[in-house]
Amino acid sequence: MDPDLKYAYYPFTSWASDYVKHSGKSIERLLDGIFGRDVINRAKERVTQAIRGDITNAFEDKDIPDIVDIEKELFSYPVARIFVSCIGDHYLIKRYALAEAEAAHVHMKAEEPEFLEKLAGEFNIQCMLDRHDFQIHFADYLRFASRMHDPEWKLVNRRLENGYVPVNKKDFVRLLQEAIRDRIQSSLPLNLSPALKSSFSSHIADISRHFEELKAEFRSDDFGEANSECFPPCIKHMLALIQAGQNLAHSARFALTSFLANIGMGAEDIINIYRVSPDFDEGQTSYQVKHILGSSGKAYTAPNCATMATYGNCFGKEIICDWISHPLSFYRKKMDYDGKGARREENAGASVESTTNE
Amino acid sequence: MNERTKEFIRNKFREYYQSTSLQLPPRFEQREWGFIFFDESFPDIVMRRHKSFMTAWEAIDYIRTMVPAHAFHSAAYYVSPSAPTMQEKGWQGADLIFDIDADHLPIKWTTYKEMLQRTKEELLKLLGFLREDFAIAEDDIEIVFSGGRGYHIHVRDSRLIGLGSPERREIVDYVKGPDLGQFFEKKTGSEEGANGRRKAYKRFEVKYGEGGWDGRINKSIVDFVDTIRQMPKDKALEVLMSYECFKKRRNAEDFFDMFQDERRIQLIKERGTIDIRRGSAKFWRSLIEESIKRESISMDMPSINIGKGTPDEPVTADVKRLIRLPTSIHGGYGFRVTPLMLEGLEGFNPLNDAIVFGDDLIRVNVTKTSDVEIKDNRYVLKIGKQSLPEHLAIFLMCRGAAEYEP
Ligand code: SF4
Repeated sequence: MDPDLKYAYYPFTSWASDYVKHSGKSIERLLDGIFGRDVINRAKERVTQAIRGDITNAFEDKDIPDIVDIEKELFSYPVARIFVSCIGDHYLIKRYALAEAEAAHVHMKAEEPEFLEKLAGEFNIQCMLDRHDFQIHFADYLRFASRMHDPEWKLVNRRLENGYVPVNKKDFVRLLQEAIRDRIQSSLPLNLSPALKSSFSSHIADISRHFEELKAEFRSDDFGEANSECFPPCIKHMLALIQAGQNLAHSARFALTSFLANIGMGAEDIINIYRVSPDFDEGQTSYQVKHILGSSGKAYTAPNCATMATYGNCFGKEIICDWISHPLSFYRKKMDYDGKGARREENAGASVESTTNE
Repeated sequence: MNERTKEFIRNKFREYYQSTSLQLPPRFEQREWGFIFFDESFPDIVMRRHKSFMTAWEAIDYIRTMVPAHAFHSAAYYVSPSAPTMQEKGWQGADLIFDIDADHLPIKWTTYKEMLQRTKEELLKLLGFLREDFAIAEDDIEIVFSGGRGYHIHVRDSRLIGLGSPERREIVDYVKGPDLGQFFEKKTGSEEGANGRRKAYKRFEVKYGEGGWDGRINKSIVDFVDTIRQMPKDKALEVLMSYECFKKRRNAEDFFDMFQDERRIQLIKERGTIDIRRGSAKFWRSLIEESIKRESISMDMPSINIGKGTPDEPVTADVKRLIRLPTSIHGGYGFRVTPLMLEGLEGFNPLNDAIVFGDDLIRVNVTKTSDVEIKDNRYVLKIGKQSLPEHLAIFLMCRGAAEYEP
């Protein structure tokens, strides 16, 4: 059986992995030879590109890829998964799964509806093809749509009839992307033998370097003029979560963004802090941040401690917390105690004074 | 509630539990159980939870010997239902539960009977959504009178069991109804005018549709138009004038005349073109608002608590995470938590059909004046010792309005 181009485009499907399994090419054997070298290089590229953002289409400059091209692309996927698993970082896994799903999304957009229906079957999505649109069972729709932020995805804004939600091809493909992301993310890290790990050690070191670079670049200790050491524990905790690759709840995002805005940070600097989030979306984040900062330059005031507590965002109270009722006052007090009052006057002082509402 | 009363009620509950055939929920072995007993603190609530049962016999025997005042089981299925923390329990899924309780509904009532009637209306609406929009099979829906102030729906469709909280919230948001704004679409374009020349237009249209909310809204608009058309003019104007946006009779008349135009009606019905004349959007807006209000269900979030928790979260005494065991007795009312069939629902009267206790006369000391309608009788009770039928006596004692006084 010859591999189809689709195998290379959708290497996470069961048909693709069956092909790999039955090809007789073991991972160990891949380590030698030209074919193996190319596969490994592409696998490395997959991961480093995922770290940077987008996994590029391997066949972009080829008119008709031959079987060898297709096989290389296909085999690079399981090898890339091994690399990601060797590093094992939670954030890397999320980032990688997202990039793979986005790469598949690019291909899916060009597919025929019949093929997409078959692909949906891979993820146990109950759906029916309805001319050019799809009917998807609401439970499957919700599995993926409930995490989307745009109100157009809300079930109540859709037409639900007899248990099925009609979606157009564009939306269907977007839902499939989420299914793919889930599948890849939940299947990693792989359980690898130490021997296998060590045979890839030099490649892993290369990838790790890229990854560390990225983390360093986005490490959000760049608070401009603000002094992050004086941040209250709740704010520090949120920043740490972002650093660890976790997504913040909406209320936490709001609290963090408004706090940073209130102490005088600009939109760009705040957006950069979120950049490290696994599902960072430049457009959406910038929209949210700018909304909180307000178009007229008057930002929303950060929530007070009581509100923080209500939403479960008060975390790791320190002694100063007993004397204040607003995270901004924590910051101001701490700045004073640390003898940095002068600095406060120059930088963040004005905005703190004008925005607290105690 | 004094000790003697507790003892009396407990004995009555025991008689019930020993003679009735208790119904256990499907996959009961994977559920957590919680009970509140007639102990010293009762009627204050001290729940004993993290119970689990391996066999049906064990569960039934436990209830028959311990005779709880309240019996609950989790909506959720766990690997180890008796483990003390969520993480150790190992969440595997949960029934989708709707708790249609008068306390969670913004409805008004004056009597208990009326309150139950109102909650039943909400129940029927919700069942309509579940059966039509969500197409959930009748076999996967269990309807239960809660034994207190409303109804529970247990949905056990295997496709829904694995849904997490955000997904369930979406389902609740759906039945709570859409935002008004989404039904209005501003359409711009051009069309051929009466003089044959094309002219640009800008107007509002109602999203036209057949299924789901679109269909509901569309139907209510069409129904309204048809009703008005069939009315004599005076009556129709009266109805139209009841809308705030028609300040002058002339405006309402304009509207009425417009309803006589076949072509207009066709546009309304088929395309949702309602922006027929200046200011008419306002009228449709209130009409749509009204129908959303009428058709939607107002409910609070407790109905979707699925007992998943966050890892490490110590399990708190959150009663909402558990649901009353159908066929048990609600210790706060003395009524049976009654499983119901879809067909018999209309005729179900909790104040008759959920009563398990008899008519023998019991001596009690009524401690609060009460006005009670039960088993087709109305009792206006004064404070003091008196003999009352057992079912009424137990109801009053459970409500804390009487003590046993043999
Ligand atoms: S008390 Fe206020 S400042 Fe302290 S951690 Fe809680 S929310 Fe933050």
